Amino acid sequence: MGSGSFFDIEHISKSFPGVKALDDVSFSVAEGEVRALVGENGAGKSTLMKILNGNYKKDAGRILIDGQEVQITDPLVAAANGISIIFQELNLVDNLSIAENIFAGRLAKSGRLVDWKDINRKAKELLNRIGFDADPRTEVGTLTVAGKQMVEIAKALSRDARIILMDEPSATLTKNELDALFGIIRDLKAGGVAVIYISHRMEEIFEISDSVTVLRDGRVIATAPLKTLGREQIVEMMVGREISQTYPGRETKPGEEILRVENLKRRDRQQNVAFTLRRGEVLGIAGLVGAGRTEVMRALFGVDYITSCDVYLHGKKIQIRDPKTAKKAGFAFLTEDRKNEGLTLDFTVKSNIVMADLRKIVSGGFLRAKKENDIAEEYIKLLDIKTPSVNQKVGNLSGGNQQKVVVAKWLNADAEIIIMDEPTRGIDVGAKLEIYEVINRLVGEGKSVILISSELPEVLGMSDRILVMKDDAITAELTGDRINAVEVMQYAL
Amino acid sequence: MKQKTTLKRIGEWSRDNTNLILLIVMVLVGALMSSNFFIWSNLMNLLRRITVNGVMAIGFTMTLLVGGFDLSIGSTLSLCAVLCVGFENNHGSAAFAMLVALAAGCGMGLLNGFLMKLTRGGSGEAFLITLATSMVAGSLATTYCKGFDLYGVHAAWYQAIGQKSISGFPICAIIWIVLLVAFQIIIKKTTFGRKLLLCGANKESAYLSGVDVGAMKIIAFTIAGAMAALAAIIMTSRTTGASPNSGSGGDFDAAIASIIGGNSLVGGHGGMVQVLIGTVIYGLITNILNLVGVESVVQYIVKGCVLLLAICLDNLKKR
Repeated sequence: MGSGSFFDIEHISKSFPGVKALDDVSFSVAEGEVRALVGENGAGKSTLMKILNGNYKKDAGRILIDGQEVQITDPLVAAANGISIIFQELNLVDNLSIAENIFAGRLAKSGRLVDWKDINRKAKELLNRIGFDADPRTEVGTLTVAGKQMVEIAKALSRDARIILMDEPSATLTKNELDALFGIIRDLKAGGVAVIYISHRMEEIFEISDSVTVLRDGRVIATAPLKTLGREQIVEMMVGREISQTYPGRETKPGEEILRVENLKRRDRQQNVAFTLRRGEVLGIAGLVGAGRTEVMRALFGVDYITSCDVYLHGKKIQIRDPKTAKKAGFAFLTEDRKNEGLTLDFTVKSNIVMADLRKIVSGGFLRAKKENDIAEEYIKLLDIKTPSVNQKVGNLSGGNQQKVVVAKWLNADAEIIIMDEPTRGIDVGAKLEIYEVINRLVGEGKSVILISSELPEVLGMSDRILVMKDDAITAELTGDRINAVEVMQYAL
Repeated sequence: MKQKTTLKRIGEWSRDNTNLILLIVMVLVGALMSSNFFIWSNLMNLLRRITVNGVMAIGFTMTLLVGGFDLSIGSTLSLCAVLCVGFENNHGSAAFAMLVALAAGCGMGLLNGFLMKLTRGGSGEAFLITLATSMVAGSLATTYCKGFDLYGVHAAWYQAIGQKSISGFPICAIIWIVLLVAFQIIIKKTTFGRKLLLCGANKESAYLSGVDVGAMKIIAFTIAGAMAALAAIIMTSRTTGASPNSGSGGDFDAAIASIIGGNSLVGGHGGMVQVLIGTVIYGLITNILNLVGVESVVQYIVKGCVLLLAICLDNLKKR
């Protein structure tokens, strides 16, 4: 194994409590090869990246460079071995200059003092090499995202990186910036650097990559030259099933209008949003990342400042000042950051379930352990939460079961309108289906769900009605036959 | 095989109960060093001496649980002490003087809590906010008594708090124990206590679940201020005097007692059992150092090391 190859990953596995994130992952990349790494959310791409960067320790397997096994214990070791990772959330210090960011921790010195002339000259050379025309003394905070990405690439080159991983670099780039990036990738390739390019966008993958590795549920499904594959085949391998089968159908139809939101304006963004919600309805909110979907819901729930918002619940105008009043009005909010905002990870399952309405476990002025246990047991049964006991720490459950605990928490608080922001992010496929079933049960009981999701098939498959958002505005309301990917993308882009 | 699991269980138990083990060790050391250690009067004496710190540690722990901490309680103690003694001297009413002291303590706590709410702060903000307010309180204390020590606690019942006993138990110790029990019940058995812990463990998720995080901080810090006032009353009734430096180092002592007893630095975990254990350990350390004849200034070297040890233990437990 590994004879004569440049970069090999062999049998890497990694488990988190309750989830097998990577399962026997192996592939090789050659010198000067551009490899696309694709997979659905939760397929294990970011876990793999963090292992290669030394953020996570692998449970098993080997990483080889030039046929030699390397032990990557932290990001510095990764860099020393020629592995550079450009994360989506870039690792730059905004108030330092380009040159300082490139040479952070390795500033050249003349005598005891830092040799700024030399550093700026070297930085300029690197920037020239990638065709980025900027003064190395510019503060990084003033650059565009594309500019920052250039700085990251220059930093990788300055460390003589031989393997560069890029995590969805195109997500925030314009067409021209993307073309420039592709030019750089081609130069890197010509210079013998291996590039692992992570992206969801098929056009880009076909434009820039030589080959593709598909990950699904922590396993490598296939590694193949792109020439031999079609777009549909890759999507099929990523998803691994007929899309239409993923979403359980439901019989129920939406009832009367229960919520009307008008004039929702945020202080910090140019938003003016209005929409309605009906009883027993799943209202999907589609749009690209950054379109303002989450912001609207955070404002509605009273988390962030709003300048004005007219909310009518059952025809009566209500005031929502903070999450407390929102909760009283019957709203629930499952945020996209389940671990930090939805749960108290080192508390038990039962205390997380009861936390949004503690009055239910009070009797005679005191909290009653028995009531707490009973309520927790009830929801564990109702939502089929897999946990060894009510006393298990929530942090030890799998993503899907954690999400169910958040749902249970809000059901216990008698929520009527349940806002779910990316409820299936980072959850494996089987658990996703269970979350969808939970959603169907909720609307079946006359509750209403607002579903924000970046996974288009999920919004399409689950919603009775879809609002499409773009640049902080609602650009379309789709119902019936118009609920399809083409219509949504037309208004989202 | 069976022996191994037993050993493992013992290992886990001792990791989870390092504080209790430390307490037992300290008691044994105390017993070895002085043959009078287990005599009732010695134990009661010890209890009487630790109550001021014990009451302070209750307040400190409340702020620790909500996800902050209060370094101003030492200065607040000084302020309340000079106010209490000064007002009794000037106005003749001990009850009125104590009310003034309690009001001042609550006021300082309220200020801290309000600033914590305003900054939406955690431990970092708590450090700087309470550092700043401790200067305010310390300066107010010095200004009030013009830098001089105040003497004279006149009312008999005022003196009794710190000096007298009821059927062998020091009154101040009874007050302390009652407070410990009451606060333990509040923390573990009321919605307020549960919300307090939720805020300390993860204030984002608490806020998004409809818990008024700001209010919890205000209440916790106000309790800390009130406890500092109460500690001032107990202290002055024992020493029948007050100086603007009465409470200097008191915040530090309370922090050590709270943390060495097993309260977590990150908030959300702990309670009054830990305060009890920690205060007794800390009292025993002081006692033993006194017996050995270590000067009180030098004692802080040992105490500083003990605090560091407690912090390391807290972190080790989390791994």
